[in-house]
Amino acid sequence: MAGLKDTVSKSFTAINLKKNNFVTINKINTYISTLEHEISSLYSRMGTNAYARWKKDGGFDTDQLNEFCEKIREKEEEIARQKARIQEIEEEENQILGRNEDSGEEIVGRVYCAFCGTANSDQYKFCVKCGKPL
Amino acid sequence: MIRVEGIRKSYGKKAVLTNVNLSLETGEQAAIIGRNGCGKTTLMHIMAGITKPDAGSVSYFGHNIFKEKRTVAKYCGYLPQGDCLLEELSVQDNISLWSGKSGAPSGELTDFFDLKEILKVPVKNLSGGMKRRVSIACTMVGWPPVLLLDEPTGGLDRYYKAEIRELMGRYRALNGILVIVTHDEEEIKTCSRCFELSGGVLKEAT
Ligand SMILES: [Zn+2]
Repeated sequence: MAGLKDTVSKSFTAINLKKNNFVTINKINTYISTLEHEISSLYSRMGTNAYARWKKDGGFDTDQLNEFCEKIREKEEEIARQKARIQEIEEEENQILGRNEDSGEEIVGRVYCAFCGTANSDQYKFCVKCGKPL
Repeated sequence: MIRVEGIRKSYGKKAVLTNVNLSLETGEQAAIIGRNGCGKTTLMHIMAGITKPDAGSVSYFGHNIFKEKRTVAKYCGYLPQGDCLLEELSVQDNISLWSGKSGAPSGELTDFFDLKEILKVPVKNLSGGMKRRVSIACTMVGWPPVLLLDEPTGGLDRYYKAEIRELMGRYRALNGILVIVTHDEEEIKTCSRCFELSGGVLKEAT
């Protein structure tokens, strides 16, 4: 009974979801490369400053070095968080596309079930997994 | 999701259902078809927890309706054949009877079924199609994720049939599961799956 309509609608689900995620992931990746640039710039400034200090006094300013290192670590942590976000989106995509292969519903906006945490389309009133109201 | 497994039911010596299995996911609409007297209504009664089967189980979202008392009330709305209304009472009072809550029904329900204009009208003054709409609204007061409708468009004219089909489509779009007993070709076409009950077993028709 499914026929062409369902097949088409199913493909749309996948395309829409993948397109949305693609855009989001691209944005995150741009942000990550900005952070990586900032880290490079911090390395370079840290080196330049350290060398200038050594040349002048024959030693290093530990406080200043610590400050640079801390900033670098902050950026590294932010990169890790953003990468985790990408992974989460990709995992979710697989989960949703896997789960909705049969129903062929379009998933664009998403809401999470308050009872079981499953991702659902924001068009839904009932959770796909536990049936409770969303 | 719905899981019906190994349902058997006999009345005296007459076996009505011998081994019924059915599995449905959210957003699916299943038509149950079959000759009169083949046991469709018995199956609906069992799925609605009204009749106990001799063997087998029915579960909604992993909750067995015969083991967990509140499962049917929480997960399932059932519309018996014909209407389920008290003619003398207003639409609002009929809905209150089903929900157990006095006063006007939720705006969500009123909007979904377009009841605003007829809330205070006695049911006896309504047309057949409107009555059916109110009946389905009654079964949906608690917004159950599963609806069992026994001939939801039976006895209605074309116009009202289309209206009820549209209603069912909107419920399905909310990700609800619909199981309908029907003889109506148009209605069968709107279903994502179709099952024929014959000889006490359910077979998926393609
Ligand atoms: Zn849930």
